[in-house]
Amino acid sequence: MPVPVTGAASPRRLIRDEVFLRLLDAIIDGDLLPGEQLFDAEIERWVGVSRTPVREALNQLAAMGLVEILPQRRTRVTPIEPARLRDLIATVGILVAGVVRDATPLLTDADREELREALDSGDDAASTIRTGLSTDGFLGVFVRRLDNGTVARLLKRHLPEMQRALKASKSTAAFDKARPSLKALIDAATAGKADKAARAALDLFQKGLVTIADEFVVPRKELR
Amino acid sequence: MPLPVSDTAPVERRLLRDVVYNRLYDGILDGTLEPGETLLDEKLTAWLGVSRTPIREALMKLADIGLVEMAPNRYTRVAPIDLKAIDEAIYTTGLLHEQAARTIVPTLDNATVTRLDKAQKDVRKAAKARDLPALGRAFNDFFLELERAGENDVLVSVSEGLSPQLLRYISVWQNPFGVDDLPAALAGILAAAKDRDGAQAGDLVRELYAGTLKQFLEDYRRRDVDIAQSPVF
Repeated sequence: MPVPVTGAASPRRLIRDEVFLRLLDAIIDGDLLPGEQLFDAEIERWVGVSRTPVREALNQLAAMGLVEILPQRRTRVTPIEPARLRDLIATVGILVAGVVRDATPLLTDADREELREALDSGDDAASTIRTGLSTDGFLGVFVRRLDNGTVARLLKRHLPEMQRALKASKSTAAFDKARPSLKALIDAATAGKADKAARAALDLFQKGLVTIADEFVVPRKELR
Repeated sequence: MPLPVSDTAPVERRLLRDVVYNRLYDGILDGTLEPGETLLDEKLTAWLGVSRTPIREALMKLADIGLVEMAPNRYTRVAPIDLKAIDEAIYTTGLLHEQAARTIVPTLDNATVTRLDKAQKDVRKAAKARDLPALGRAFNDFFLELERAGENDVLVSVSEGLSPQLLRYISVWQNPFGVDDLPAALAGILAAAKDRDGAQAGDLVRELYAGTLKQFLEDYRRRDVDIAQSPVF
């Protein structure tokens, strides 16, 4: 039974965001699997809200490429497509490299300190890089320092789709390949070498992380 | 990848939404719908002669690319001209175009070079005639043609999502691009493309867009204390 939504000043907005964040986390963490079908009624019961905020949250996730909605038919978590994943990683890499290049001259002493620490965080290459590519990681330091709202919005939109693939990866090969580039990036940026740091950022994505797409190649997927 | 036929949305409905989307998109960019103008569902249904659903769907798509602002239960309006947002978007476009030039130019086929050539000529013609809307479109086409040759669908769709801000810029034309400098700048990039010289093309694109970063740093970027208070990310 859905909880009736009444009272507070702008309740729908908040509940929609709550549902959105719950679903987003579940998709990134792999609790909801790529290709898994989503039923409105189940989500309503799970989160305890009515249909409207659930549909709004699903629309938002669809705009991020995380959910596929086929009107009157079905809604599912978007399957991971290797070709799309390669394009996505290359594109995010371009944005990140640009931000690294142009934020490097703006870094503060505290930023440089945070960057050096980021290199040692995490138990293994996979967690260092996954955390690194979030608001809590090295990426956050550069994006905040540049202060360009458009880049920030694009990254917020496209990172989750990449993050869920990184999380779903069974092997550490791509992360092991990317790890030296991360070190090169941070060494160059903390030394004030903007172009060098940007090249390392591109390598991290386009030579390292992109190889993760190969893991998701299957002969012919039928997820339905 | 084409989806199986059974999975596509009903055709009429999809087309209707796209028709509404294109009408509104054009109306906003050519100024028929003014910056800040309130968009009432009843007026739009009367103007376009369609029902509310495709209009709402089109409006949500337009909100997504920053041409429309929707505040639930308060208003839906044409996004006001925001010079900071425009500068930020054009800067971001520059990042994508620069890298596209570096990676795609070395492997360009002749057909793409011919299309780039045409777009550059259109830019020159429009600049001469002082036809700013045509200039904006031709300029935008030049780079989208280049990106499409790279076959990265995500890159193209992100760039297309930023295009409206670039096209809106023409209505408030000022720095960082000079109208008269554009044809020459694109001619240089075109020449590098013809030589398949990706490094040179990339450097020229970077130079072309350098003004957006300079202007951002001078006029729009906040002080570090304000950044700490409300970070963008």
